[in-house]
Amino acid sequence: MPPAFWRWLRRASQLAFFAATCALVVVTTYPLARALPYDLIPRFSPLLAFTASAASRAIIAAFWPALAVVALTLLFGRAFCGWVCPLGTLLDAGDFVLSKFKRRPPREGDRPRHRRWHLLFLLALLVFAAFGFQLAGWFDPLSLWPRTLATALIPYASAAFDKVSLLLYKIEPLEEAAYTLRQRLLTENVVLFPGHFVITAFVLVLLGLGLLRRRFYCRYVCPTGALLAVVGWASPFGRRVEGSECDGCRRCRHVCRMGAIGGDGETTAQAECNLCMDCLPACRTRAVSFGFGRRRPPENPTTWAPAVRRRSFLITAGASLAAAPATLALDRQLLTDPYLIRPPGSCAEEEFLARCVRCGECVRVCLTQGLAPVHVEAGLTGLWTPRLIPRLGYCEYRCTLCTQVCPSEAIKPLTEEQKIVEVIGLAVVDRDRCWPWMETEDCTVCEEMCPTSPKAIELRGQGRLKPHVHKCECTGCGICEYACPVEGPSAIRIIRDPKYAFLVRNGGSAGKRRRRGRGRK
Amino acid sequence: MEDRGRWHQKLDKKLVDLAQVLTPQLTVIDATRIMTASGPTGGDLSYVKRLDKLIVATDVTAADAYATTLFGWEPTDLGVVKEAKRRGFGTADVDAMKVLTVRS
Repeated sequence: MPPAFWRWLRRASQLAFFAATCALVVVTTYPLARALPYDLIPRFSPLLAFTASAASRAIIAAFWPALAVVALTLLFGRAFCGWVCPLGTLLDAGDFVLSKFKRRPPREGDRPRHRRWHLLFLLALLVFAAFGFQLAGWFDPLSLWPRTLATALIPYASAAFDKVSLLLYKIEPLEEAAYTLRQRLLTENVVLFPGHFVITAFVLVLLGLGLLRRRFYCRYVCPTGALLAVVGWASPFGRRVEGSECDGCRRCRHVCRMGAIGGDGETTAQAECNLCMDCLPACRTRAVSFGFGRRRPPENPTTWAPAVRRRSFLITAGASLAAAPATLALDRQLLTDPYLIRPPGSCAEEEFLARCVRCGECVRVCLTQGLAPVHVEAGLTGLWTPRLIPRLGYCEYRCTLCTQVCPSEAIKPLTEEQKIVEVIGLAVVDRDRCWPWMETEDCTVCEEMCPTSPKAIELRGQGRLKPHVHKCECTGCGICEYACPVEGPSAIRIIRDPKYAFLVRNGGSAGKRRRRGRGRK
Repeated sequence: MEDRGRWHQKLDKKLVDLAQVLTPQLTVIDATRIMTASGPTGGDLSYVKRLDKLIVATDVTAADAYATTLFGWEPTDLGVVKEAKRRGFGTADVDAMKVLTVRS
């Protein structure tokens, strides 16, 4: 095999996995008829498996594919990072573009450097997981990339196509094609989720870090990479250099995207090398090879095993141990949004936060695009978990799509029979905004839309009919809030718990006004 | 039609307005199955009554007025018929209609 063969093979593998992950997220739409494992991507992550299981104090068996990655890493080291990871591929593409700009040269010194930052970061995430926070999903590539696609990039593409196809309608020969494409590609609503730019900016920053170093994220930040470094640093497969052949030109060190090669061109940090094979064709004397078997024994084992200094370990562990309970306390204070509606089948809030890996699959699949990523409404640690925003889209009565794509069972699978009685919230009429209640105009929209049987919204009253909600029938699906013709906030709103009803009824000011009224008398 | 929401406010008046401008020549109401409660969405199959009827009329108000009797209502229980009657548009009185029944 020519040395460049392996590099091409690696590129092909990267492209194939990248295309496969993108395609899988794109096809995660109604009616999920292709019998594909739509929730597979995040389930491959050992880090998500570990943190979600630890945070929820249960072994989540759905993460079994992560064992394949662990096995791969035990044998081949961080091959996953170089050959499979979709974010790694994206960063490689970004780094290629950014290679026009000058980066800092590799540090001098004979020993390849093992990075400590991501190890410490991993440690902090594990401490938080022990306290029931599942934060790894923010940074894990197998969650980060699907989420970015589902909540930002695909909606951008849909919105653009929405506009373009409306133009195509005007060109007569293309009218039918435009219609068919719209039917196939677009959901009922085309929406950009609130705060989509934060999700996009996050990825753009990761790409931009390539200006400092190639694969900056993988070297210094990625906690999954850190975990794989710990798992795979002693793998039997790895890079070898035939000392007698090496002329010490250091080309391999220059091309190494991970900075895994020492100044002598020979020592390799196994826990950093992602087996990209770039150093094979770079070597003029063909001294470099990859294979099983013993490499040159390390003079100093600490350069081989990923390790952190005892002091930084203790500082990080201590700081996280202090920060986690503080965050917990702060989040309990912040978690007051009465309108935070979780998807149907969701676990209780605490377990939901522990299990949700923020992959955005439920947001992607939602029929009405009513599921949107949360920002700080669920506390600091609830970032990018899903919520239903009924003004964007309601929860379709018989739809169970989101319950079928959750990789960590934060949303439990529901059958149609279970779904139609699943209560996610309660509708409350704002009598200061509702037209019939204000005696402005007749309106029957919420009652007509209500999908339960018997209807949870009843029109009654003398003279003008006014909507009343039956608490025992209402599932909180939000179609009434979605369809309410009152402009601005709906005159009927879904709250997550009946105890918040006072916040909606009479514009939330009923109590205040009544007290004031009494004062005047 | 743009702005569906706006067209649906004061629907009864707007429907009669529309009928007076367009004056439909033939009105057909499909009453093969009728939904007796909880329409238009959210009903249960048990609310559906099978009548196997088809109402055909040259007077749109008469068609609507006759249809209300299938539900056991008075014609003026339906806002649109009431409004048409007020304006004297069409026949709202079922007894005054000439109803021909055709069986297949």
